[in-house]
Amino acid sequence: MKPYQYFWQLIKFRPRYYVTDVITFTLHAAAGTALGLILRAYFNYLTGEPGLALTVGQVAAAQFGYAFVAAAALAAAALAFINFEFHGMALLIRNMMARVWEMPAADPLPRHPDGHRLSSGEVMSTLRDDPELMLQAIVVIDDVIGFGVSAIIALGVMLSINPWVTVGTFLPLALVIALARRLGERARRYRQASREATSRVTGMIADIFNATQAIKVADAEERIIAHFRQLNDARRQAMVKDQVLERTVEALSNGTVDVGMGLVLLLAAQAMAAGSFTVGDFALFAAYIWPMTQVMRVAGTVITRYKQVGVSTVRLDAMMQGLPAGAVAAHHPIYMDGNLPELPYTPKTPQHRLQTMTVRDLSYIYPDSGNGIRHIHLDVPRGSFTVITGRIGSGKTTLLKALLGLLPAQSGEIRWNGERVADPASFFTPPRCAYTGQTPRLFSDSLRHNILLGLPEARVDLDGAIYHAVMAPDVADMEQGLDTLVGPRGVRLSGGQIQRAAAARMFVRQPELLVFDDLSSALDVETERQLWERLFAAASGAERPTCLVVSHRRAALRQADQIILLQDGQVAARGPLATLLAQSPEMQQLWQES
Amino acid sequence: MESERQTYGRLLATYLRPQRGRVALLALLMVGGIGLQLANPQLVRRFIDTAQTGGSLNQLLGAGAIFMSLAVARQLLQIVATYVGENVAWTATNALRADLAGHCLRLDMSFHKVHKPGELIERVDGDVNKLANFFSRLVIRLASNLLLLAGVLALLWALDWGVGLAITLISLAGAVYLRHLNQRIVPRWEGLRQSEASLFGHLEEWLNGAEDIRSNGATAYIMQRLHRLSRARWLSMRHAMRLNVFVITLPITLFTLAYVAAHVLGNTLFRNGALSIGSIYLIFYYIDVIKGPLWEILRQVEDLQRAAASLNRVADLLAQQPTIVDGRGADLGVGALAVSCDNVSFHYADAPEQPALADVAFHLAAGRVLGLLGRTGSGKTTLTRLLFRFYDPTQGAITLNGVDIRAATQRQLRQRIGMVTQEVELFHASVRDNLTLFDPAMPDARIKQVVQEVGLAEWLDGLPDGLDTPLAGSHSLSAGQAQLLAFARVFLADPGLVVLDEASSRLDPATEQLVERAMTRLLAGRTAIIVAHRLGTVQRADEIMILEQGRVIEHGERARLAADAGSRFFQLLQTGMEEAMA
Repeated sequence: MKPYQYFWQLIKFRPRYYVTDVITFTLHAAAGTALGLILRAYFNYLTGEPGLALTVGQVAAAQFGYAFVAAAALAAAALAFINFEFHGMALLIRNMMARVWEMPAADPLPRHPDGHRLSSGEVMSTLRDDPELMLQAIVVIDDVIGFGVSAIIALGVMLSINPWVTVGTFLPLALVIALARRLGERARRYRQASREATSRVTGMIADIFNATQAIKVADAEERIIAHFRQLNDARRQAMVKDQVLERTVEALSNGTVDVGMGLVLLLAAQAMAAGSFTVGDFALFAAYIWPMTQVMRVAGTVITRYKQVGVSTVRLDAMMQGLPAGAVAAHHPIYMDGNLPELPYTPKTPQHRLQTMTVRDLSYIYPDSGNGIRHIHLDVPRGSFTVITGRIGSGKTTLLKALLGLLPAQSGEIRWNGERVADPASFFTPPRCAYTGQTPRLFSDSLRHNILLGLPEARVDLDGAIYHAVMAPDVADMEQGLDTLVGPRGVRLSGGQIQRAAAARMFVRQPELLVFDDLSSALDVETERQLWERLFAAASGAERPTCLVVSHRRAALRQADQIILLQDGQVAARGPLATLLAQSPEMQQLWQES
Repeated sequence: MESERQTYGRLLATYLRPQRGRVALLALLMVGGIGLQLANPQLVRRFIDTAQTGGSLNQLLGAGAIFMSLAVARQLLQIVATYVGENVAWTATNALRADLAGHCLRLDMSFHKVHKPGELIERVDGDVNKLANFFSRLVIRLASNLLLLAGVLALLWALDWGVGLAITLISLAGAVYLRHLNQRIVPRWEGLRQSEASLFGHLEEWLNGAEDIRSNGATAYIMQRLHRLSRARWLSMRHAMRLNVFVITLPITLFTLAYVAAHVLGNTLFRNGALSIGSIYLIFYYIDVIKGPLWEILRQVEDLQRAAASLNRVADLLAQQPTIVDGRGADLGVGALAVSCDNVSFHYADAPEQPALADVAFHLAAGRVLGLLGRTGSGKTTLTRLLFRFYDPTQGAITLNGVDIRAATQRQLRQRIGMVTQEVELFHASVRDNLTLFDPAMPDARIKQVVQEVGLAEWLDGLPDGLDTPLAGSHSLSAGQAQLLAFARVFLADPGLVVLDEASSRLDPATEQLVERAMTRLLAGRTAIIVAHRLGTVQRADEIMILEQGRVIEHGERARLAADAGSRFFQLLQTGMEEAMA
């Protein structure tokens, strides 16, 4: 898709802001042509030459009139444009983030053309810069329209005075556009190189600050910074090229117009000597050099800018992974004013009830390594406790993720109460299912909001969830209780507290199926014992939750109704612990080591 | 205001001084450009007056030709100036970026607890980008534009003092008004920058937490927060723009005033024969000449305001000092380190009434292995943080080989202690850089030997470019392999004390076996503190210490405690044994 099609989509998104911007900016630019006419009338008055002449008083009045119109129109245009720009950027960011949630959540970011998975730091530079570049490229169109209209007016006036001199002034225009066109392709390449160099720098900063403790511990600060300086220098080289080319194109258009002014001098010489071209006419031509400069500057940059923005459209499209080009600019509500959307809350109803879940022939192979899981069968009846175990790399986590749709399974069928689950990723969500991974993430917000994540507090059992997660004493110890801010990624909490907060987050949703991956890895013996105890206590009640867990802990294995033992991505054995211990050497070994 | 100017000055001095030559060249190019710009209008005056007084066509054509060549020369100067200027700007800001990143890295962990990585990207890159303008175009161009303005005013005074005075007064009035606007608008730009930092900080967190968001059905909630942050960003921009329109329309007002003054005075001066028609035209031409610079000065002042907001934030960041002060330096000796904790008490600054450690005292002889046990929040992690001087004890002291760790430099200290944490952070860099943490001096043979020792040799052999293969994010390593890689890092650093914080908690038994083997080698000839929640992990410990609510409730030989039915450790073992026999 061509950039103009994105422009059009974005313009249609907020047509009122855009049209206001174009009209007021055009008015502002067109008002500028009055200046030349006023000046000509003034010189005609001074020298007594023929043509429209105005007295000093009239000239002053006209001048003030111009100022009022031009200033008011410019202010209106600036306000309309930032409204347009910030709404458009909000839409692009919204669409990219919405697409992230539609992707397999274990792997939500797009790939670079060279095949590597983009890091969040690299994606951040797309989210931050490309929407802005896109919207600012659209402002060039306003310039084209505004200055274009004023150029047509100016051209008409100049032609009526002296066509020969006028044509001489405009000749360089064709030259500029031709040159700019030739430089455009190169400008695009330079821009791409500089954007990539920038991504590498931002990616490295993200790496550095995600690993601050590791760097400090290893006393690697200086070495990291030395590496960072190298990336910075590569970026400098790319940036200098990019900027010099852009300035050259710009200087070229400005410079050519200066040459045009020289041409006016040369061409008007004869007419002035002959008396057919007055000082007033000359003042008018000279006054129109400025708006003409603007037209030609814009004409020169519009093509390079347009090609440069092509790089942004490719990067923006890449974020929409698999959707047709242009989806990034599709219209959706962005709630810039008025009420924010109601948060949907689905209370648990009998239709969510799990009787039995069956998995047949589930496979997921990582494209990079060729590892994964193959042909997994699994039956999870209501109220059962299923433990998936196996060595590291045997595919335990992969199995959970492929089942829940966090990774896109390459084959397999999942049935819930006998009915086929078409889209696991959206099906396995509360109140049907909730999941906690190995290293759960919290977000910069209060503990309360991290647990609720938008659930209506009045309609859920927050205290109960905190109790079951063995978190109540911790919360009681916190000065601000549930309103404690957990810091970025939850760093103000201990590792164990993060895991239990994540468990509470899962419990408060009261899902039919609880899925968790090595939940207790950061918990001490006592806390872990309480957690299992409370879970199993609930499990023996009237409404037993169904659990599917990855663990190699004896406490869990012993409780299991069935154990699925994975080996190299395949089910090596299954059954209750006693059976497996009796029959599977692999299980015997694991049991001994645990 | 004064201190802000000092900050500008200090930054400029620091980052431009190393490029003195290039800056001088840039200034020269700028001054040359100004000269050409002031000279050109004189040619036009000559042209008009010659035409009006019936001069020869050749004279007119000559003036036109010179005009054109000067115009071309000026554009060439500008391109060269851009090249030099961009290089100056990027060299300076890159140095600032690196210094800022290095500075942030050196700040305490308490700083990193409250600042998101996404926010720091905004600060280290976003803010510094805004400053890029400040370094190149801004300062030097602002100076050259002001010089041009001064030149034009001087020429106007020379032409007629009345005209010179009028235009000077109008320029001054504009400057005063602009300064007044500036003071009001800077906080608004700062507000915009903050709302942007908040938006992008959250986006980065969410991208890394996609699994948690999806599987908890929280996408609608996160999108609602996104809408809120996008709205706040727009509103803060609008708030700033509503004042900024007065700044951007100021040139129109100023020019109207200047033109009207020129119309009135020009009429009188021409009528009484003081000035030729060419000179009257020259007044308007010069007003037009300063139109460009004045627009630019305004744009640059606007940039300067934005830069001021960024600059304040950068200066804030640079002004943050680590509370941990480096010691004078002390030799910690070679080989295994003896560790002593001398009645150490500690509380975090944000929770002063809640002691994280209270009166912790123990001695660990060189070469011994201590197993550290306790509930989450009992102070185990805190104790290891104190060892690395991420924090200093509020009371008491920690010594290594009898030397107070506050006497050594942090470098001396951290070169002698190694740590493996549960979370292994990888860099988007080569395998070699990930293993050595960017130490190019580490010989390949040593790296490969260590890779062999930790059991990653097979993995390394499978990589297309060996040590030079880029590790793209955490996708290419399993959690277990990442753990082994973390071990390799410590092996390479060869410390005298190793802290293993829950290092094996995410490994399954088979890999743990692999790690155990590597660990045996790693711990040989070293002192170790193993923080673990599972009893299996502490089997290799010589001594056991149990913490509860920041206090040592038990400390002794593992074998002795294991045999003592009254000990806490014995009870813990019972829980484990009971588990094993059920």
